[in-house]
Amino acid sequence: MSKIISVHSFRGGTGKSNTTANLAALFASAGLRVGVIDTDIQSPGIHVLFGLDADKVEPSLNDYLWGKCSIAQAAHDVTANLGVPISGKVFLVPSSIRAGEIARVLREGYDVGLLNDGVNDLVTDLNLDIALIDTHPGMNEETLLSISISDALVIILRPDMQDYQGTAVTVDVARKLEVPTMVLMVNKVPAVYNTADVRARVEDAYKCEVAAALPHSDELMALASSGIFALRYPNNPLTAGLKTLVARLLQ
Amino acid sequence: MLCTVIAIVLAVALTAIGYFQAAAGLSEQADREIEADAHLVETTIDDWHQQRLAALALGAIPTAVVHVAEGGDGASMSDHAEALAVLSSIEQRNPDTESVGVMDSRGTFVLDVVPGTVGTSGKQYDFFQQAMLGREFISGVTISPITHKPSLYHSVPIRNTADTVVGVLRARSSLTTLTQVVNAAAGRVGAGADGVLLDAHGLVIANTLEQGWLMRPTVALGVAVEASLIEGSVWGTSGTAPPALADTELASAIGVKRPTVFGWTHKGIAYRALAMPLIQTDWTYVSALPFDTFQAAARDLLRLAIIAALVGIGVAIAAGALIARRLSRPLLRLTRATRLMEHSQLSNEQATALAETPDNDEIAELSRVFGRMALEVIQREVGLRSQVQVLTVLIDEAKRGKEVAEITESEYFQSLAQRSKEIRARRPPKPAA
Repeated sequence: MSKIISVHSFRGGTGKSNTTANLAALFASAGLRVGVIDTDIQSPGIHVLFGLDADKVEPSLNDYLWGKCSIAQAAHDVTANLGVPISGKVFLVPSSIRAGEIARVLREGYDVGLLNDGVNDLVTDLNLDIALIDTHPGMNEETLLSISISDALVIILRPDMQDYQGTAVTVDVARKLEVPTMVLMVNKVPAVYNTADVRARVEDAYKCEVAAALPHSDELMALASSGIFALRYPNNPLTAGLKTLVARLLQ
Repeated sequence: MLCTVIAIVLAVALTAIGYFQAAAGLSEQADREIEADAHLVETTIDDWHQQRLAALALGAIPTAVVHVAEGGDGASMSDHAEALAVLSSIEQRNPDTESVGVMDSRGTFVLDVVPGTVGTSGKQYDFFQQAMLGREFISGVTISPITHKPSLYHSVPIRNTADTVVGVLRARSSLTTLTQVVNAAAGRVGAGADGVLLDAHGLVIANTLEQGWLMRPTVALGVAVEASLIEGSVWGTSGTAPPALADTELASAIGVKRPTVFGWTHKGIAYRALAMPLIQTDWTYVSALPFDTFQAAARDLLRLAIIAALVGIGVAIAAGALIARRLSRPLLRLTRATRLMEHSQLSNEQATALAETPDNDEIAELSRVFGRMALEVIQREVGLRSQVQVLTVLIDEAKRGKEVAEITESEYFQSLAQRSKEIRARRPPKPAA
């Protein structure tokens, strides 16, 4: 059975797109066919991590939502862009980076029901094992829909006062949508903290499993989204945390 | 370690330089002293000869002496008496003089303080022949046929009023004073100082080393020379020359024209020697001083310098160790602290100790700065760790419930919640691979 996984955070800057891209690469490294949909139509960015040039980001999700193409036609095979031999596949449905199209979405909105159909069609058309939805931060109709159609939800937060309150709301809302699997991932944990202690405290605070507590990484910062960290630094402790999350999601 | 090595090298080098300079200086000083001593002996011996010649020259002037030389037995009784008085006066006033006599032009002794000499001939002797040529003469040392002891002769011409050489006034002297003069040099300029007086053929006239050297040649004489000396009865009536000393080093002093320094070894003792030519004769006086004597000061200096160098090296090592300890200890402590800090293992107490480092040098200042910085980092880390506990607690539950209700009580959410189950249930199965 194919699995739809949403990667969400209440606030931006938590590392959602980076986490989604790394999860996709690690799933594909395990031989799976993975699709990534960038539903952050207002501020698309995950295509950069997959090495997709700006002038090649079309057709896009935007084109699908406006009926210009099928979802499969908007899917780009970015497996070769990962730079290492991968036994699986990674397909990316990017959002348009054209300012005019972004403005159109903000002005006119779109039928969110198409998003649900599009994800299902993508899974079917490309025979995907995993569909990863990179959501827009915060609670809105699109993110609620993504959560509602997902088999698993990964909520990313930082050990930051600004994230705690909103994450608590997201967790409660997701519970009411009865997401089959919901895990937290604490990202960018400062080196002075004991990650195991942070994990335990967050789990206790939200009464929700913390699948991974990832340390702040200077190497990740230095990589600056120019590639997939887990493939570039396979032995890094951060990569080990991501693999733990992958294993949990595959259960 | 480097400073110690440098100190040792410098100490050795300076000690060696000092020793060699001292040795050279002492050699120069020894040369000056043995030259001065040799000059003293040379002057004394030359004066001794000069005094005798002068006495004879005066003695050859009186008319009575001239008459005796011219007339021989034909001279008057008063001339004989007056001339004998002159000869006696010469004998008495000049130590070592054993005989003073007047020879006529045929070489016959016509008057002498030693009566037995009168009537004997001495025409074959060089002291007669040279004086007859008008020259003042000093003979070499020979064994006297009269005393059978080493003697030498001084002679001067006796001239008449027409300045014609009519006879010879000759004196025979022993070597007592000369021997005493040479013997007095023993040990005078330093312990073991010795002297040797050589004649023109290298025969030893006097010396302070060996009694058996008297009249022996330093090295073997040439056949002709030896034959000539034998004929001249240099060694008396034995008719043979004594064995040579075979001392080639000493022989290098024979006939030198100017003061000459040379090395000489006798019975294992190494000498620094100086050959001094005499002026009145072709003799040479050798003044010698053992190396050990004048180098002893240099060796003493070397000994003291070595002791001083060892003390200096010891002080340098101690000072170097003290300085290194003073420098390296704080540096090692600081380096250890940085390593601990790198691995987050530096304790608050260690950082505090660094921040309170005493002293005013640069390393102490660096330690204090690092200590203060480390304290700030440690305290910040402690603060952060305590903040995690605080942050996880600060969730406004009332606000949380309100915000959740706002979302979940909306129509959209209600509809979505209803449909979500249907959406998941209607998802088509994954096509077969």
